[in-house]
Amino acid sequence: MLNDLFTHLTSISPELIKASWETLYMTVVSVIFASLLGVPLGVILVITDKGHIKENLAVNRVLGAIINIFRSYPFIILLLALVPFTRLLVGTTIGTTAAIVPLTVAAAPFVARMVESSLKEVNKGVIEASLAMGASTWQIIWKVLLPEALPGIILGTTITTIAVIGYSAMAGVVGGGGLGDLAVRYGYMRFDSVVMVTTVIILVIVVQVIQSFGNFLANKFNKN
Amino acid sequence: MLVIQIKDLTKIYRSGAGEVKALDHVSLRVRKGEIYGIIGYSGAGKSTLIRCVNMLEKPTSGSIKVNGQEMTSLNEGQLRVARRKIGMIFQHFNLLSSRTVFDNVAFPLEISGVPKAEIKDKVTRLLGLVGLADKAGAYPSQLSGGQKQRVGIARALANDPIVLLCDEATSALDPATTDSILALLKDINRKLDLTILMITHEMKVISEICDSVAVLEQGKIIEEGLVIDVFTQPKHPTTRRFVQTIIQTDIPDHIKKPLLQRGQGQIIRVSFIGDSAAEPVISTLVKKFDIDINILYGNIDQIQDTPFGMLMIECMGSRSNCHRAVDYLRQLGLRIEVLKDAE
Ligand SMILES: Nc1ncnc2c1ncn2[C@@H]1O[C@H](COP(=O)(O)OP(=O)(O)OP(=O)(O)O)[C@@H](O)[C@H]1O
Ligand SMILES: [Mg+2]
Repeated sequence: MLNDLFTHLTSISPELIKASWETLYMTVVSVIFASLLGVPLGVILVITDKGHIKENLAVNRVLGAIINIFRSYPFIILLLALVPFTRLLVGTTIGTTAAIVPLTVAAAPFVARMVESSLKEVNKGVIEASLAMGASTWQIIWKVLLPEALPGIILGTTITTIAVIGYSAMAGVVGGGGLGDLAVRYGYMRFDSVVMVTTVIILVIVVQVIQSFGNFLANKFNKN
Repeated sequence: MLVIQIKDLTKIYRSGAGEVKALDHVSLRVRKGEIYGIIGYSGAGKSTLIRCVNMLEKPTSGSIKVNGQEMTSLNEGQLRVARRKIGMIFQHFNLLSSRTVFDNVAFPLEISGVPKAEIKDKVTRLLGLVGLADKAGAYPSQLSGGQKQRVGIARALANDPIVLLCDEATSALDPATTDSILALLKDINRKLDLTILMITHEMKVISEICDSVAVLEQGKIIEEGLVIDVFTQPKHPTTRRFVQTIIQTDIPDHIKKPLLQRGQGQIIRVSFIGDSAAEPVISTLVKKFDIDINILYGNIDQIQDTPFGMLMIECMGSRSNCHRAVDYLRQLGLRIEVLKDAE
């Protein structure tokens, strides 16, 4: 019985490893791109807010509305709706790389909002003191807002990463592969509960590790 | 030389609910090297006033000159440069929590583009000046309130400011720590000949380190002058209330009334300021004018290095001798108030 299980696992292990890599690849690359887009958006949301260093309510409202629209799309619909855009961007609409486009688009507004809420926590007095010292907008963003909010941003990125792993399970729809896809193909379609359970265990471990690492980093940078 | 010159400064806050005139044609002048205090009750407009000096608040009208430069007409870039030379410390310190003490003090230098090596020297020197050389590597959360304010002071001094603005710098501190921070400010004022403009709601702060004081009420300066003058001769009722929070300038009514009723001769109040307080005036009076003196009430105080006090005395003798005695006291430069004429 145990022997059977072992043999079975060994036989699917190349697929498991491949799927794990795919999930990792999709997640990491999407989170990086989502951050590259989302962090500046979050910063703009904060500094253009009422009473902040670059108050501009028109920009603030429009940007906020756009972000909300993207955030309210169910991922599976976004995945399909973005097909033309994906083709334009990466030349194909199927495969792991193609899945990164909708994952990034889904995660970026998420990142923007969590960066926004972290930056809003930064003590107004500290910003004021920086202004009084003659700091420019750039200096306040780089030397005050982002460093002061770093622990919050790290925790937010951790949550985003875990959410992206969840979304990536749907990447199978566009042939993106990954652990979620594997579980669906073997577990759901072929009633192979061993593969199903194994992928779930791997996902649980990955999520735990990411969360612990995120907590560790956030603590390291939290000087309060 | 004037370091700060404010003329007809008015600030009106407009919001949905209406208008608040936080400052109403405020004018004041702060001379180089002096510590100038502004006192007022909550809502008087103190913070608004001090924040206008470095344009954290944009005045509605009026002129603000710092070191001769008109602040209200600077563009953004010019304002940033001007602000480097205006240090500021805050009630809640406003340190960067993610930076060490050293890096907090280095912050304004980084902003001004000072080279790394120079920053190290400067910060080390400043931390020595405020007595925190051993805390360079600590984070603000590991410091006491007094230590945090010392970091704030070191940070404010980093770019060799021409003036230091203090917004309720000791209001979050306990009395002993307040004293030590005030002593540090006075020390810096003397050592660096640094002009300081501070706002407070505590008369104690004014009396301990300020040279001049202005009293702000409902956005207007209602009284202004040298601390010693304002303390000994407060004119406006609000000023008198402030002065009475720390020294007794008036004789309490429950003491004054029975004394006035009982007394036979001329009852006067003599106020002493400075050296004259030490002069043996009473015995001189007795010898010179052939009268008897009865001391009814008295107290003596000290503002910074100047002693001052008040005596309530009764002169007993002929009416003309009593009047001559009073004239003599006036000639000595003492402030006399006749509470009851001789009978
Ligand atoms: N940003 C603002 N918007 C609207 N009204 C304001 C604003 N800031 C201050 N005020 C009003 O201006 C007046 C003066 O406020 P200010 O903060 O200068 O007083 P303060 O003397 O510093 O008082 P406190 O001792 O309580 O700090 C108050 O009536 C206050 O409500
Ligand atoms: Mg105030």
